[in-house]
Amino acid sequence: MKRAQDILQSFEKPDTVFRRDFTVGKQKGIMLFHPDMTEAMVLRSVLRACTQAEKGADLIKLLESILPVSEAEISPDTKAAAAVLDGDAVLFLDGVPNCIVVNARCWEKRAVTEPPTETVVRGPREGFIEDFKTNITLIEKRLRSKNLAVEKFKVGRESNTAVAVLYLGNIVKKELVNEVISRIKSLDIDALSDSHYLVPCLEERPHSVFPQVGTAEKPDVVASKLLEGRVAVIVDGSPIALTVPYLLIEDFHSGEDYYERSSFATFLRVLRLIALALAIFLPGLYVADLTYHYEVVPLKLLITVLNALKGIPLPPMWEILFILLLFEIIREASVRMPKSVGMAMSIVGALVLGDTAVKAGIISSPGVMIIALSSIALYTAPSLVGTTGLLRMLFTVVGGLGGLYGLILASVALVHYLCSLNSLGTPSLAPFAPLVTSDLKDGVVRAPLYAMKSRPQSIGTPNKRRIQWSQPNEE
Amino acid sequence: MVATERRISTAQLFTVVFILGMSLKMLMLPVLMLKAVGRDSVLGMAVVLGSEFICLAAMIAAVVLSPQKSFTELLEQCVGKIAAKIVFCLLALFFFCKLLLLSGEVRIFFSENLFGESPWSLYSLPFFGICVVMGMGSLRTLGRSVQFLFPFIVGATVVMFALIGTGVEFSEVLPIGEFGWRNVSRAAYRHAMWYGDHSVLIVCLGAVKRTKKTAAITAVAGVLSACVVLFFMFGLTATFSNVCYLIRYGQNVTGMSHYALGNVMQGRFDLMLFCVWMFSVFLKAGFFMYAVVFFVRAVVPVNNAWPSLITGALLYGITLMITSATGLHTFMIRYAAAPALAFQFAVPAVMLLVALAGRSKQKRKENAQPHVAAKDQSAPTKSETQGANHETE
Repeated sequence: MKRAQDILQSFEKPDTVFRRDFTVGKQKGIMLFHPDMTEAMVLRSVLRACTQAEKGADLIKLLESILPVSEAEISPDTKAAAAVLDGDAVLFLDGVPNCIVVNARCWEKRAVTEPPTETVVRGPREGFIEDFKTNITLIEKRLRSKNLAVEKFKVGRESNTAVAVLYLGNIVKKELVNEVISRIKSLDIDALSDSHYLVPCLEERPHSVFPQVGTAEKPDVVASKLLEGRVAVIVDGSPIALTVPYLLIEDFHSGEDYYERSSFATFLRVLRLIALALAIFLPGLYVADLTYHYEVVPLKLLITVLNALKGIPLPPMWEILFILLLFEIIREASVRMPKSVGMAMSIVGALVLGDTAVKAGIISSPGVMIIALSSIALYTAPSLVGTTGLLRMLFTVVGGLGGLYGLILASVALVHYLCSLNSLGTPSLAPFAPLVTSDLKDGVVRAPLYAMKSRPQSIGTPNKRRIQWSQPNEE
Repeated sequence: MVATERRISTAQLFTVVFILGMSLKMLMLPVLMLKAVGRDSVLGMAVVLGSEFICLAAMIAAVVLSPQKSFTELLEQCVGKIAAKIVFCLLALFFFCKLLLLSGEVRIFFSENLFGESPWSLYSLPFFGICVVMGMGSLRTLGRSVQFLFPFIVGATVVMFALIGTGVEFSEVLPIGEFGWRNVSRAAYRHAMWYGDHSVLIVCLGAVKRTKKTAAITAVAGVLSACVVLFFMFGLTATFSNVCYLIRYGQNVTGMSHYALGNVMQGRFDLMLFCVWMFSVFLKAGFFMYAVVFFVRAVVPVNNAWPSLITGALLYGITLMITSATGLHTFMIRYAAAPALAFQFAVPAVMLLVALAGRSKQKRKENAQPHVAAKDQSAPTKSETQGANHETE
């Protein structure tokens, strides 16, 4: 059969794809499949069913009443090669146009586990894995709604990676969906290794240090974002889903906030904000105060700090930058090094190196303490670690060169920049700038769930009502 | 979606008016007034704030009544392109001078403990750099920036005032009226360049998303900022009365709180607060720069970058020429008082007149073509679109 042969020949090495000949009655048939990506049991049962079929069975009859599979469709020949590469089995019948594509996909995948970056004490622990279908199923399981739309397409000239855009049709703003799909489709890339490859397409300022696309590793988080009117993007082979539009305040939210008491969740959010402010500004402030503004520090504290600084060869700015550099090296090394030596190296890095450097008089103990505090605080917003780490360095330099004047100027510049930042049309600093009062219920404060009656207006969903809860009258 | 709205909201206008009203008047002006007329500086400030409020009222009326067109469009319609361009040039110059004065104030504020050792010519570079960036940005971004930093500014002001309130003997303000009204008016006149900052609201004409409460809310912001300035003036006057050596130190409220606290055991917490408050000054500088760029662009239609960069370079050039920290003060007091006073009153008056003229013209047009007006009611008019989009991001 020439058309099947043509498909085989279109591969660089035709023996990559296997061919099985069979007959339906006396009619010749060919099945093409990729041996590494298909389930042998399915292939066997399909072949058996075909050979046992009566003479004269056409594609429709085969599909509807003969093939013992749940997922199969008639497809044009042009899509046959792509289907084979997806792990499907393709059946051709001699003299019959088109082919049958049978889902026989089978490959190894890891179990659904709790993602390491979004661990919770209370709440669901399911996390995405690298399997496309599993990830979509995890969301569909949570949103069993007819309005949940999953638009699938392929991206990548060589990888043909499956990409899915998910949204709730009755909640999302349609222009947003169209924008997301058109941006992704406009990407002409050879391969899509991970969902992060799509991030620059969805960002208005790809060079910015601030993220404009949200990421999530948990289906409950993605489901709740879809319910707020956002759009999610899932990429085959990536355990991280992208969500847009993205607000900066989302970095201070955790999925767990919604499973805790609202008062405690609010406290945690405030704590995260304070921690982030400390992480960014504390080293800079320390340097500025010790370089230019001694009077700001209370006298007793100043004496203590100055005593500790006695004999330190470096000025405050260089000392702090040196400690920051040390910390960044230790952090980077501990991420990359094998786990078996990680613990030992951490002890060497943190205790031996730090302690020895202080004792040797190269760095001061207040400096180490400031960086330690700042570094711990950095991880209260894990998705912003890279950004805040850079900002911390910048503010340290600014504080050292310009004192409080420099810090204020840099802060104004930072705020001005953030205010100009948008994520697919939504201001990144919403609901604070611009102020959207109804969204403040889920900003820094986490109001009780019954009080969050409307969806976030910053995102501009046309379907505003979220909860309607009439409490029964007390008698 | 919120972002599709290119105008600033009423809430943002509230914060803008509040910040414009107080920032420059709380840097060196109180000290300069105190130096000129002692305790009577409170009276001078009160009179000036009163007149400023009248100007603000005119500007609010213009914003509320304008047919959602920018000032440049409205003025061109009223007086023709050439005359309008002359006005735009004058306005650009006025806001340029304001920005120059503001940079001088910042220089003095930080000169005591930062710029003493290093030259302002070096430290002014980042300041002008940020001004240039703000000038290149949009009014919407500026409005959002003010809105975002507003709670921090207000918080710092409240705590600062709590420090002043608990540490200052307010009865020291008395006796008042020793210098007489003539001297007070003269002092107020000499420092005219420090007043009339609300005039920068001229760039907001046609770019405000109006509600029924816009006028009331904006007026409240004006009153609140005036109260803040007056309270501050009271505190300063009560603390130092006729002792005017504070000019040497530059910063005023910090010095005052410092003395009020009595010692340095607790650290200069007030300095930190004042630094947070300084956000308002830098934002105001951004507004002045935006206004300069806005009017330069109305004369020479280019993109935002060039006018902003050239203005920044000019500012820096002038800064290099002024060696003394108080040199700008002397210049503004001697030569800029009369023009500043004229602008302070002329800008709101022209703004209101132009807005009213534009409004009546639009009404006449609507009356002449009722069917067209009815047809276009649902869609934004061309003028509305232009008015809303005179800024670009």
